[in-house]
Amino acid sequence: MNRFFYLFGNLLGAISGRIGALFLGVIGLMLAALLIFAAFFLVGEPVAQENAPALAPGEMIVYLSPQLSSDDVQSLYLKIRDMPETRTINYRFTQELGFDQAGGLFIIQAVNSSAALSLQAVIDGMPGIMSIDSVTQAQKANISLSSALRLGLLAALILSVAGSLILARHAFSLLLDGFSSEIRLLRLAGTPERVLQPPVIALGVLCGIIAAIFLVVVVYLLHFLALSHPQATLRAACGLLLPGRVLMVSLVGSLIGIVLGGLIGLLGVSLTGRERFQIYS
Amino acid sequence: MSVIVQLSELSFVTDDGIKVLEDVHLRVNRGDLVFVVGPAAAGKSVLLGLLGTQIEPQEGQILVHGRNIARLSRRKAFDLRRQIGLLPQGFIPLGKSVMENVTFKLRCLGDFREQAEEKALAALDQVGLTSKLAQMATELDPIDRVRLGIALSICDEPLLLLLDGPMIDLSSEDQESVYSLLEQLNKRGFTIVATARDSLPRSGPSIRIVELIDGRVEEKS
Repeated sequence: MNRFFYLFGNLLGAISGRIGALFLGVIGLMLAALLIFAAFFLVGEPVAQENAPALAPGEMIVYLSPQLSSDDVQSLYLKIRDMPETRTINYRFTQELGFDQAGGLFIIQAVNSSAALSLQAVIDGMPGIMSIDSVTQAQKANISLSSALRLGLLAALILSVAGSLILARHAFSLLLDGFSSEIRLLRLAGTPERVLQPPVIALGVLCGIIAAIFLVVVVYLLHFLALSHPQATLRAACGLLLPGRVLMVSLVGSLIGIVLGGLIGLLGVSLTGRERFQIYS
Repeated sequence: MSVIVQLSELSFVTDDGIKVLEDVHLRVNRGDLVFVVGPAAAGKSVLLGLLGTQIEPQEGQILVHGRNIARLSRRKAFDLRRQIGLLPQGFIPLGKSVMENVTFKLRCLGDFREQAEEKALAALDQVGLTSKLAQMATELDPIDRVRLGIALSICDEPLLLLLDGPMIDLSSEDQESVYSLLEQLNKRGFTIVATARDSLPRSGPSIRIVELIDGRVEEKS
């Protein structure tokens, strides 16, 4: 580890202004690729699952226990109706909506999506409530992306990954050229290749980690922004309203960023075998 | 007397088909100071590159410290390389201080900082560069660059020292200085094989001169 950190420090020290700018470009393109990946899971309108009713923003269906008496149902109805977050509330028998189950349900429209979140939390704690369907529930949020948008994102993803690889190759080429005296000295001294390679890979991984950190920051900023403006977000990027999905995208995206960084590092390693780094060729 | 280098029927042909070495036989004993002398492009650098395991051998046998270079695995070749101090022709130091040049090599070989500094100081002391430890190596005079190159070659106590043209492009005064330094190092126990284009500044009782002409070697003394 001693010589790994020493050599890694020397490699970082060889990064000049221009090379640093190129590596920043690599990080930027990696971040773009990760954000596009995240967009596949976060961008789009919510669609109802099969056998589930189509819900509008701010709308929810509250399933009542079949064991509730009519008085209990009436009491719940009045309680919810009188809440400031409630715009409308309607009672239906489940059979009316074609569901294969007994009991009744409330179809509630909140005054807005933000109010819907707090309303849902309150109703969820009430006795006699079996479940609640709403577009803000992670398990119910199937996101619809148009084919054109999906293709566009895929093309942008491929372009940004390819761009980051091309730029990384150029950046590593310049960096290793500036480090060529050190590499030749290592070869002369009989230092095995396994000594030089890990710091180069680590540099690529470091780029991936930085891009991953930026991804998490950007996704969570957008998530909190979306929670404060749910109505506007719901139509464009309803996935941002789902904490579980945001966490999953952040974790998987970070992992992909680190793997992509490792690949970029391996690309750099492949350049160390060039003839210009040999003393006798 | 133990043999450090034994070359038998060594031949080498470039990619262009030019015969650089042809049926070379050479034996270097422990404690020898051997000068391989010959004109430019006579094959001196190739010979040292082969001995230093930097060039893959083609034909013939090269034994360094009893090990056949052609049959060494990649890992063992790296191990052997660590035991050979090689100063290539036209050595360019790193853009660091004199001290850092030597410690860079040692630390990359696995030494910790204190150990590397200790070894580097000892090596720089042997070549007379202790007064220029903090000076940028790229700003050194040609003679001091050669001294630094030799310090880099000896800092890890190698079994064999290979110096490719250490006196090329130096004034006759500096050549004499390098020559004396090599004699001193030889007296301290280093086995040295060096190359030179022209005749040596002077002869010495302990010096063997091998002439390399048209790819063949001829012992002069």
